[in-house]
Amino acid sequence: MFFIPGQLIALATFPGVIVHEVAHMLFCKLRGVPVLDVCFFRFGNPAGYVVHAEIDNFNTSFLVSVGPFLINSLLCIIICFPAFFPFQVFGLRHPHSYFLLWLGISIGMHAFPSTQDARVLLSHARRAVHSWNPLAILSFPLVVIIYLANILTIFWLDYLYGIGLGLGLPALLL
Amino acid sequence: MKVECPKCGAGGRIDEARIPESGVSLRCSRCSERFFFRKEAVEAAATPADMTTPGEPAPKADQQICAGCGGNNGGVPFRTLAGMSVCYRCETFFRYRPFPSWIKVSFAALLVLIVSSLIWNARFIQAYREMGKAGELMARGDYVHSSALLSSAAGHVPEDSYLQVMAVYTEGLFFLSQDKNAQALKNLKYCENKLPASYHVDQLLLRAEMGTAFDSKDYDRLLACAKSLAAKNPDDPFIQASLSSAYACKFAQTGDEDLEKQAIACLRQARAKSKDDASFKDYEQRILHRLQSREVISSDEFKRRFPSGWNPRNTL
Repeated sequence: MFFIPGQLIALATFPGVIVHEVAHMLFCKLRGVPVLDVCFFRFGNPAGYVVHAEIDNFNTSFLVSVGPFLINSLLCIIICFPAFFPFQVFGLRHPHSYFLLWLGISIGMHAFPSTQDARVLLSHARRAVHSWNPLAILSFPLVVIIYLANILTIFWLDYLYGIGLGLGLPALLL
Repeated sequence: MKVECPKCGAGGRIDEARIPESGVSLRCSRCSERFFFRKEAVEAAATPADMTTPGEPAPKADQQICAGCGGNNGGVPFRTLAGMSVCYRCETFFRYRPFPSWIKVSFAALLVLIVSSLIWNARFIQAYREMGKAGELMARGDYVHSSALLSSAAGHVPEDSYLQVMAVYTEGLFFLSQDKNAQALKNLKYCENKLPASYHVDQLLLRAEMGTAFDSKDYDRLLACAKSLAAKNPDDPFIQASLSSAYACKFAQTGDEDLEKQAIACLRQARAKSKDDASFKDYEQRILHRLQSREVISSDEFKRRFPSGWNPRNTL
């Protein structure tokens, strides 16, 4: 087991941090939530953040929290796909493929929402669940998964998720 | 009513009656910036500090300072956004905060990278599809199309040496199935020691060598190869029959009765293992014809001469 400081991992996979914050901000803009402050990347903890106004609509809160998971996962698949064939099928180690895989897996690694996102989602879900909002009901197991995923990052789950999406999923589907 | 773009400062006028109380989203005709405009904000900004309504409590000092830009509203409280007092310009900025230019450029570059990578690597995807199709065709025994597809796939990925060998191997199988033994021999020799044992290149080479020996009437070499092949496949009725065929050729050439006996013995063993296979019976007929007539003819010639089969004078 390798233990590398999170800041170094964030530095090595900085495109994922940037895309994660862009996704938060994108969903804020799409749902009309004022964005008060944003940092796409910095050498610190957290490596990036988006400060937005209080959200009173649960669906908006859900999208803003889960948005990075969707965007990062999708981009990871799309970026790794062109590299999958030369790298995995033909065993060719082109620098171009390595670059695409680094980019795609870095983005996929940062797909999981943070525990802060999970906390916000949970507080909104508690209120929205009284109106039987299906997304609110779904949010409870989702919050558990987010917490577990964040804990399991010490076992490189985020890295495995990126590799699984970038190289495992096409192998499974093709 | 006068309107000013918060980004470039370009001014313009708008009919006040067309602005709802909730505000309106506008786009600057000079810089294309989208921003939110509300009458109330303009009126508040235009109200001098000394024009507050008498009797009303004076606004708190922090409500007169914009939390965004630090601007002072001269005694008039700003509107609050997310618990912060912000000026109209900052509120518009927070609501419609644009992505920084470097983010936009980076995403455009990412898009270009993805599209160009897909185009650049399309040959791998094409080769992968052709390999899949070739595998299906090969499983059905269609070596003609399978070989053509694999050659095409190898052309798409010239840096994959394994694929090149596979293309040559499949072409070799195709030549072997067409009795083009010399070409098959050349292809299979190229594949020797380059493919896993499961591809049986050594045995295919022996078959191709047997074919070329038969074509050149070199029956000693034919017999030697048939013996090697039969030793490797003692339970295969066709290979045992090919040993019988080689003995029969040698008998036809020399008239040595020992060779005839060995040919018959091998054929009996092969027949016992053949499970009444129709194609085996055809092969058996050719061997028996060779033994009885002492004439060595090719498979095509045999079919031409005996289109409805040949009946031996006596069976084994």
